[in-house]
Amino acid sequence: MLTFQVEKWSDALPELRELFPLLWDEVALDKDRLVAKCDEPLYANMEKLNLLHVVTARDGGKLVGYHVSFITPHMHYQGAGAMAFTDMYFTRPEFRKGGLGAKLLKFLESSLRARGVFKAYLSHKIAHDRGALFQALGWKPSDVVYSKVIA
Amino acid sequence: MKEKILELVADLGKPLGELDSLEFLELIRDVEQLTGQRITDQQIVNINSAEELCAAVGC
Repeated sequence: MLTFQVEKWSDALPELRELFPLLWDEVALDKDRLVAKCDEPLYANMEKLNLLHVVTARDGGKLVGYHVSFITPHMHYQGAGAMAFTDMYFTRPEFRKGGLGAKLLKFLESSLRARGVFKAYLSHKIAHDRGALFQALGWKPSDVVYSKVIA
Repeated sequence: MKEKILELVADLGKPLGELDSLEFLELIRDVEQLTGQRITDQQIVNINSAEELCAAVGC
């Protein structure tokens, strides 16, 4: 049975560690220059500051998907309230059915609203276009992000 | 009404649990249009079968 919940980063971390390499294998760029290594102490500090929002999907207790976002005020909109900036998300490929992705994002939105978040930002890799799903859920395309290794 | 909802699912040619996210959302919209009822986000995340979909709209 699928369940969706908000969890503490530190509680989910042992199982998140199993999924990070799968995410990076699937979507990471510049693999010849960047070695995937999650900065766990930094995440731990962010958790202490209450800046993380972790939503998980579990099937019979097993972690099958997650979404992590940073919760901060937006410096361009003082007083507007907290905003959520997507850090990363992933679902196990073998569980990508039954609307798992849609459900995860529905739950994410509800949980962010319950936390008092005013606006959320979500993105996808160009090579892994999730735009149709995001728009079906009411998200509007707003930016195209470019990156370049400059060192 | 339940029969009509089950027909909608059957027309998709695969069980609800095998639908991709877009197919799933389209099914939810079709059922909302058919019944005139809104299915809440909380209900949506708990729908894993055609029976649970029917239950979400009270049939």
